Amino acid sequence: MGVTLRSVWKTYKRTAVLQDVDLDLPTGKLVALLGPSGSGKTTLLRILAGLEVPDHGAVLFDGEDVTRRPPGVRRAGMVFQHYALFGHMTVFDNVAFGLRVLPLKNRPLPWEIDTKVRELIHRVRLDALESRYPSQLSGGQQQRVALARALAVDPRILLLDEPFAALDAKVRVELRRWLREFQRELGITTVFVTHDQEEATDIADLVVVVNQGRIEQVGSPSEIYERPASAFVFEFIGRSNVLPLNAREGKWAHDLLSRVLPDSVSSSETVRAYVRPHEIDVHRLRDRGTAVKAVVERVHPHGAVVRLVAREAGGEHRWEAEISRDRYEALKVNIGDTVYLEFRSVTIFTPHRKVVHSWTLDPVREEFQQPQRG
Amino acid sequence: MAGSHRSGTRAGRWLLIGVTVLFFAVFLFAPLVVVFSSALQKGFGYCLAALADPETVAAVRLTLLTTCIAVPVNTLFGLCAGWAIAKYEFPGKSLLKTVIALPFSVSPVIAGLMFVLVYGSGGWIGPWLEAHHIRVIFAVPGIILTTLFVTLPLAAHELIAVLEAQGREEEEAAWTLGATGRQIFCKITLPKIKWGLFYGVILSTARTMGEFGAVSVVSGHIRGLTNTLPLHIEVLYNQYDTVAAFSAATLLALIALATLAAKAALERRTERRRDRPAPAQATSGREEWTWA
Repeated sequence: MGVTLRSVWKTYKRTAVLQDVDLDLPTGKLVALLGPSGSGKTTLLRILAGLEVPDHGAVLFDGEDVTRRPPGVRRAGMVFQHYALFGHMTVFDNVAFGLRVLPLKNRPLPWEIDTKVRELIHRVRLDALESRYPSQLSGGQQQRVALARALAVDPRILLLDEPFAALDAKVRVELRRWLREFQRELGITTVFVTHDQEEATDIADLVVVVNQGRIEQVGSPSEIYERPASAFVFEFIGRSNVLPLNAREGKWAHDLLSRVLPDSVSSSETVRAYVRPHEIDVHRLRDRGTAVKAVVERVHPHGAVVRLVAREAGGEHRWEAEISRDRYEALKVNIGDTVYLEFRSVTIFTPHRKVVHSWTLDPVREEFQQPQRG
Repeated sequence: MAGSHRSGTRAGRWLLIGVTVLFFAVFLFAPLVVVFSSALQKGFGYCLAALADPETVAAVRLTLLTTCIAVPVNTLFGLCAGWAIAKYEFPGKSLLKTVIALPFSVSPVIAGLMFVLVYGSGGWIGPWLEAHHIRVIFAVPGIILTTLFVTLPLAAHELIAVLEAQGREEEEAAWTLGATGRQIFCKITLPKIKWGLFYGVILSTARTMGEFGAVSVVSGHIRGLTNTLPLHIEVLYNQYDTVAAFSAATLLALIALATLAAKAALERRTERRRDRPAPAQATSGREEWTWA
């Protein structure tokens, strides 16, 4: 089922939590609502569920206006962050709940309910546990009960609030891959909320980046990473170095900017420039004028890559560079060594445009207008 | 060193236990024994005869009537207030939470006086009531109203605590699953709060039956008409009819003991539920994953 939000606004106690949100979610996709805490992503999910009603705007399910329809009627299955299982009911009764509260004329017969509940419990692999109480289950098991319970009413859309936040790291990765497969099998439009960019980019078809009640960007995980639409998205997705743009500490960056963007340097508070750690080359000797001289402070090996943290010589600014292990071994750098950092490309955001300045290719400028805000 | 330290602790332990037991004996156990022994000093038959006295029976009946009205009303109010405070946000919520405890902090005598000032013949709406021949003060309605006021926070306090602790996620989950308001209350909320509810009912029953101060002010002490059991006991005692007074008192003492027993049984039950051991699988950090 396709979901559309049309200029949705929501305010709590005079704070605008959502501001003019427009969103189109295609049928059958796994969508991540990604943003920092307090960005409004959970409110967005609760509006989709029908637990909150927007102050303005509309929620459409397959083109049908469901804005003011209560949650049960719009058939949105919800899995809560802390699962919200019914503590006084067994796993079986939890899953059967949605069927047992149906109006008598629509309610399946008891044996039909039994069959359906057993099948769902089997699908989420909890067969042996159907007569346990929620307090006797682990976090991952509770979550699968919550999932089966939500699916029992044949929801048109499945909504998950921070589904993996309460699990330990190892289970988290396994469970999210499993959810990915499970969602493909079901083919049901699924939206989950997360603050973890790795989680979002790992399993989602579509990532919706939310910040301060607005949508920053909607795109596939690779689009979000490779073509971030705003400084916020650039910083939020993946690692990045911020270039110091004040004339004193970041003189070379300031000079660079005045060459690339002569018109906006004067207002450097609104300009942000970044370098990804993997776009920094590390050399023992200076071979280009723009290289930054720095002293290695820490070395973190991470599998096939090594992360170096180096402090700019004569300054306080720290840079993180990511180089291959082969390169690291060829360089033979140790803590305290002086190195030269060369940037392959710098991404600059002004309030209205984005410029990528690259040294390895011909200095290419890729510019586009950012979406206009409010 | 270690030995002397340990013996010091032991001495302290016996001292504390001794003081506690002595305190219990003097202030709790002895009075209770006195109540029962005084009631029975002229024999069991005399005690029963004292209880069968028409005025005592009338007092018991009035106390029961008050209880039968005040406890359900307070419980219902407690549910409404608990629900409103725990589940909704509204202006003045914290003020309401404070004011709800007012009857706890006001002396019952003051509470009684407040009602006299409002409903009495010189009070705010007393003249209007008199003109319509409605008697509140020195009559049964006044007794019920003051009892309601004094015992109001008991059930509400208990239910607000339970409902607030529960949050509203489970109710929301039930809502997304299509349950109606009534289904949510009966199938989700009520099972969660039933012990808190029961506890609140027990407490307010005990307090309603034993209320003296506030009722004393508004009752007018009309024997056989507006004397509740505690007021009647005082009257009997002031007439030096000790056996009758203590016989009536045994009724209240028995109610108190029954309340205590019910409360203890309830607490043991909830503790057992909490301690129910979870299977090893659930407590181990790592789950069994067989997704192949």
